[in-house]
Amino acid sequence: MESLIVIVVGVLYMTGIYLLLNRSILKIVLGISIISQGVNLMIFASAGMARFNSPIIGANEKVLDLANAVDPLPQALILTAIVISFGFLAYAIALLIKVRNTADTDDVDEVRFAE
Amino acid sequence: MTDFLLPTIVFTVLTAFAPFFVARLKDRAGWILAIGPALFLAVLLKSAPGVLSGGKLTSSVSWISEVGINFSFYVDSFGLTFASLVCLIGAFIIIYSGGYNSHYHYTTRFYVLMLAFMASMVGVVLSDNLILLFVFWELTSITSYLLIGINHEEEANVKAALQALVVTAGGGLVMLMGIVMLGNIAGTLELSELIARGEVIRQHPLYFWTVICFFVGCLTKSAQFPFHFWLPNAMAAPTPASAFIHSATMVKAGVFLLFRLTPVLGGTEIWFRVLTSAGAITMVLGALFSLLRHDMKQVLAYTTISALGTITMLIGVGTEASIVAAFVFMVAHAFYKGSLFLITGMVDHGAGTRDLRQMGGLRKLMPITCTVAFLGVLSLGGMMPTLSFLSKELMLEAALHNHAVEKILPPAIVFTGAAFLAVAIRLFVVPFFGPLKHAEGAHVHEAPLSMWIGPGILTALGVFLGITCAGFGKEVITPVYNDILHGHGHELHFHVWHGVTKSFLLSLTAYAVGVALFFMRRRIFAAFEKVEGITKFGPEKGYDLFMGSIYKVASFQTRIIQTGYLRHYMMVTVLFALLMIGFAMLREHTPIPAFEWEMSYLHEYGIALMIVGGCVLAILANRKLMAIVALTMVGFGVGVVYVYFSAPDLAMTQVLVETLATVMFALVLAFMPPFRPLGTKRQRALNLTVAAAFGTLMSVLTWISFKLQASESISSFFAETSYLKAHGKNVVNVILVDYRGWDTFGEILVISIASIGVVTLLAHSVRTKKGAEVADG
Repeated sequence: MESLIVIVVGVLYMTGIYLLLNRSILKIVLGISIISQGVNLMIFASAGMARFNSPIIGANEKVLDLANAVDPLPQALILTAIVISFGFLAYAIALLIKVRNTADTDDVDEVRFAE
Repeated sequence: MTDFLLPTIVFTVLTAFAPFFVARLKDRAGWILAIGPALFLAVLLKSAPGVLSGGKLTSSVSWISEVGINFSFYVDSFGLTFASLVCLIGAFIIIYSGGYNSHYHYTTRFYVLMLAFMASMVGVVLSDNLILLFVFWELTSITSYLLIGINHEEEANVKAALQALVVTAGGGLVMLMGIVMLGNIAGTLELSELIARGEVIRQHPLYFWTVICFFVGCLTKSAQFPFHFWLPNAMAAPTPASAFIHSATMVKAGVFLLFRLTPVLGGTEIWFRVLTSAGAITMVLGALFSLLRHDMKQVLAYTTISALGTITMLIGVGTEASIVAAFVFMVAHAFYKGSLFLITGMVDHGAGTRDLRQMGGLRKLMPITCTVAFLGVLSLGGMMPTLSFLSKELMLEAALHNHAVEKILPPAIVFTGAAFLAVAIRLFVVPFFGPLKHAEGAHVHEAPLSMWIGPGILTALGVFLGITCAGFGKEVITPVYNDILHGHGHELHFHVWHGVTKSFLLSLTAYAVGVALFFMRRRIFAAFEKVEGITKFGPEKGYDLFMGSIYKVASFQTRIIQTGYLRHYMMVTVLFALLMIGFAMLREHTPIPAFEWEMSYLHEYGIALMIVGGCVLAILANRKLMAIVALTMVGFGVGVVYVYFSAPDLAMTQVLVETLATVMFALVLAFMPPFRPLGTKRQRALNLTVAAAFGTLMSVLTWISFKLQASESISSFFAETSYLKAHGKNVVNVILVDYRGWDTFGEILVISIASIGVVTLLAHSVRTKKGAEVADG
């Protein structure tokens, strides 16, 4: 699965960047969303794509056996990242509506002149 | 030094509450605010006997002592005399401002700035550490800038203020380089220690550049040729500010530092040449222009430039006699020049003009002003028995007894003295005598007590000290002179009457020429009018060209860099990231492990296909529904990855968030216009290429991170302690809420801020939309 995820991460980044370079403001917001998925997946992959147990300590155990469970640290980092990027996306969408209402266009090149 | 604590606190509090006093007391606020400098003066005078008999007050608080920067003060007799002058003149000027400002806007701001300036100026003269001195130095530049431009509705004032700031603060920055070099050479930044290391410093190869940097700093600040042009323009400031900052104190900071550095950097060939020539040129040019101006403030501004030139020149000559002459002249000048500015303000206040061609006969209407002016011009003209006369005598003596300059400087000094006398006569005779030029019944009135008391006392002091110069010389000038030159035991004797010496005869010549210049003034004006065009090519032209080129370069590079297209910025960012990461990898020869294809389960291919498919759809999307579908495919695809690879918390969060995001997007899309193809095909092809390159790079990096075990993971700590110490079995949750609790707190904060932002944006945009139709909506 590692080789597969490497390609998926690359494709996510490529799509994100391509959309960010777009002139349509909606596609830019789409790009923000997709590139953050790419970032999360990249961090996730850094722990290795092993099919182990979840990082939850079993009922009768006191410590997590890292030999049989995935690394909990990247997951904690991503959990924060998902929520933050959601906040970011919500704000971007609100901005989108604002721009649409005030500048009356969805082309960022035109927004430039509609001050 | 603990004595200074109380006045400092009182000063600060008074400054802070200045708006309150001004609001309550109006014109009388000056009397209250003057308590600050007056109290400071009292403490200075209290410690004066000890300091003048050779004691030194020091105080040092460690600041950034690792690099030799301390909050250290040092009071010797020179600093004490200078600080006393600042406080004395400052107190009178604050009182004076009360009367003057009754016709003026921005009164509150004016007081606060004046007091702030005064504090900075005292800081300059009492600082021991050069960096601290620099801080105060630049503070005086900044407060001066704000005061020149205080009437900021006038464009000319703003321009003059900026010019003064650029020249003096710019010079200050050059001086900072000098300070750093000096600190490196000498191993200390404390002035009190530097004085003893002059020998080492002058031998050092960096001495030349150090001294040049200090020259730039001091000569810009003290308005010396070729940096003198800012000072006449700075007369845009209110008259009390001009009197204080641009005549009595700030412009003397430059010469003050030159005095201070004489034992450290002085006595060399370059010191002598640069200072003597710059000073002499400034002295003569200033004197010349003072003869040609008609605005009283401009006339005084040029005599100030000339006087500063005189001091610089004398410091450059550097003999014991010239240093003494320079110091005495500086004190004399501080007493009379500030006062003359204040008298100008009184005339302006009473008669409504400062133009010498439009006034006359004010003597009967303004008798007190006339008397004070008489005392002032007595000093300006260098008449016996003022302190100013004594200083002129000392100056001539010093110049005559130095072989290097005895041919050039005495005539220059005589000319300057003559010009000063001509100006003095003009400033006194023209406004106050002759026929009254104001229409009968014009509102000409005498200045109030608050306005004449300061100049009255200061000019009287100038005369008084001249008469008592024997005692003043013994008690004050001798210790100051010893402190400046770092010498001991040298006693100076002064007398008002020297007998008929060569220098006295030269003084008489100067008087005669001065009177002649006064009577020839109309012819001089007429001659000057013919050649006035030449003055356009002064150093100010260079300044204008310099500033103009800055604007040109700025607008040029703004046009190039700031295109205003978001995608250009985006493109530059991406390309830069690509370049930097690529460059780093090439430079470090990062090994890239060979890519090998690993077999995966069928459902894994399915997941990957779902995400990649979503991506392709997002790129191709030409309808709004397609965009939503693409986003959902990617989001839930990644969610499924989390499910399969043992991350239940992530999966849960991802699914929730993606659901919400999809709903939000669907709602927004209703507002948006349909997609239309934007940009050319070539543009899109270029974008895709760059994006593909970046995607590939990220793939490579991810692959490297798989194969590379750079260092040991800290996860074992979490795995071992999660339950035993934090009592939680879900390690991911424990990390979030316990080990990295603050991080999560920050995350909550971010979400709160984002939601506030969303609400604000949406509320506002809804209002603007409805606002057109419903006024109260």
